[in-house]
Amino acid sequence: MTDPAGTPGAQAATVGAAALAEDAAPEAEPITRRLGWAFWLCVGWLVVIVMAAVLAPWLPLKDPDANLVNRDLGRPPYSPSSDFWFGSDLDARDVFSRTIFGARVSLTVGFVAIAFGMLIGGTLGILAGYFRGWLDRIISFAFVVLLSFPALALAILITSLIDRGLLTISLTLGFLAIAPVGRLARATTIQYSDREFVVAARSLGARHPRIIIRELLPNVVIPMGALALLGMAVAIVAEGGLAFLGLSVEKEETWGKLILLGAGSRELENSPWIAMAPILILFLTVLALNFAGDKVRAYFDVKEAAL
Amino acid sequence: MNYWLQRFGTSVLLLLSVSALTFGAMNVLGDPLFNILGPAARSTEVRGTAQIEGYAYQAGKGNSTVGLVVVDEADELAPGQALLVSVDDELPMRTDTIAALDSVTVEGGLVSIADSVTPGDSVFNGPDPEQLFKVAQAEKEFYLDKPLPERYGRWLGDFVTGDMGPQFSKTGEPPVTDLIKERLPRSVMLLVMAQSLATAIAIPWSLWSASKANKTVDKLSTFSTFLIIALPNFALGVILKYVFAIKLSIFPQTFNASDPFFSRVWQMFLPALTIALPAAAVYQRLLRTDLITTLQEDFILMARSKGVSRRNVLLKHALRPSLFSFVTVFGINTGALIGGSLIAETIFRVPGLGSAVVEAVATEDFPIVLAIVMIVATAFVAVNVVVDVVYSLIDPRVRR
Repeated sequence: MTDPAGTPGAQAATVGAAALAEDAAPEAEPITRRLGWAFWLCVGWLVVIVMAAVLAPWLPLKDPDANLVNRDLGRPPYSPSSDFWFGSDLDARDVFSRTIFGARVSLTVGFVAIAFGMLIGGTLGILAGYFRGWLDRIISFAFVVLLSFPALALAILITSLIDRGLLTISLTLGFLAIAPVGRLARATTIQYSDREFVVAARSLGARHPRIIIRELLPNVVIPMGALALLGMAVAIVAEGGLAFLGLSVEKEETWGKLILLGAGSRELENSPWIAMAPILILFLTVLALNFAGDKVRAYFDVKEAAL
Repeated sequence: MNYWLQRFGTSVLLLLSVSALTFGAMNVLGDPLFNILGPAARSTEVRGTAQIEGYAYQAGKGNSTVGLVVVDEADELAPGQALLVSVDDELPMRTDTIAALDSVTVEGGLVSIADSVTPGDSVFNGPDPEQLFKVAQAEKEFYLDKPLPERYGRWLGDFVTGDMGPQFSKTGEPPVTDLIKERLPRSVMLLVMAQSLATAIAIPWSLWSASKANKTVDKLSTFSTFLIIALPNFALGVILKYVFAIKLSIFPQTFNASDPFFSRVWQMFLPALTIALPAAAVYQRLLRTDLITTLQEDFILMARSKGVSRRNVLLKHALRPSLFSFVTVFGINTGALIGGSLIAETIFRVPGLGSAVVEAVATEDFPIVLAIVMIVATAFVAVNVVVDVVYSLIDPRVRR
């Protein structure tokens, strides 16, 4: 118990963190401390999709729930055209506007989940890393227990027990983010808590809250910011996975539910665009989040830059 | 020895914590009885409509307890009469026609015949005896009358000995254990196939990639691993199903449990590939990095200068020492892939544990979900322990 690094849970923990960070394998490429045009392309895409999601009700989009039956086109589903950009589904609803409105829910889930995980996990991790001792042991063991659950199993368990509203789904996924985020925060705090500027602050008579907030927090926030981007991608994907198990947000449409709707054999055969359009948008968003997260992590990684 | 004892103790503690968390969640997040049975748990409070001789009676404010005849044995009921059962001092809870009389169980209650009931009167209709039976069964199976720690202990004992409770959505039969016995082998087979495929893809890929390190093809392959990892497994499954099962018709779209073994393997190929591709991308990245490191070692230079061909250097000299971290990640990833297999199963209609979860969620049959979550979590912890043990056997340094 005194040796959390050797426990099987700790093994799982490293993988959990790695899974959250998608792939943290060191690359044998020359290190450049530039973000590069690809990074800004990703940021551009994220800005576009977030703006579209936020402004969806005011954009000139078709009503996502309206059955836009068009007699000239015959029976729905309609294939993609200048009228229906991404085609329509079996009920003649516009797939493009449904995907944009789905982004509202999916991005909200991703954002709320990772914000919740950051808040709770970050706080616990910093406290554990700063105070050490018995508090650290309890919190670390709690992290190990959380990480020895396969994330999806825990998500299935909680979502099948509670009502599946937007907030509860987001908080469930946020709960799953607590342990990986917390471990990163704890490790980073430990790394910094013996540094000269912390010792200096302490010897000048600064109290714990001041040291934590003014000295440690700014240093811990940066690596966590990179993890936030990666974690948001994981949360969005996790929501999609839950949708395929029938456990996603009940009322609103999400990307996962939109894909599931078009994933039946008959739908795929006759109208593949119902599933493929949201898949494309989801893929681009996850790709952009992963890439941007990776770049931010590499950009601020002091160790890597010092090499 | 001390090391193994500590290792064993930690794993047991972890398993206990995981099961306590699972079982605790069921008991703490809301009413446990409701969690287990869903709306059926409310059946003890149900007051609805009664159907007597084809007439529907609405439950209303006024009740027809007036003119009740208390009888010891109600074996005859004339048309228009309703059977009312009152338990303790409660108002009559249940009416029945004579046809369903034998299914009524009355314990310490009064059986009354309301002979003044005529079409249009309001009577109370109590809970369905079948559902009452379910409630009693659930209370017994999950020891709901016991305090929480004892409840957990008894339930864990049952679970370990293979009693996972009845399937409430199917009148309790067959028990959940039988369902798991039927479904688990398919999920395990899917996982084994997926891991074999992932390894079969990752090793040649990484060898090829590492031998051309930092050339354009290598950069392209690294970029493609990035793309594959960004594609969620359910999206990959849908795309594979569309391309290979529907457009090209190479693989069947669904799984048929009654087919012979080899055609079932064939049917499982696409779901296995769905899980294997992202895993292969992760393994490829790891192996490639390790291989590149190994290829810079002196013994590789030595082998090359002795005149060993590039191919043999890669396969016989470089691969083995590079497999070290791959073995660990391979093992731990097995646990993580269980989640992916649940989703792949639902896309390709493989009746494994994942499909069982979907069905159980749809029918609100929580004991199945509980059993599957427990199995998945236990497997995850167990796999981690095995990996840990294997790892410390390969590399004694871990033991210190």
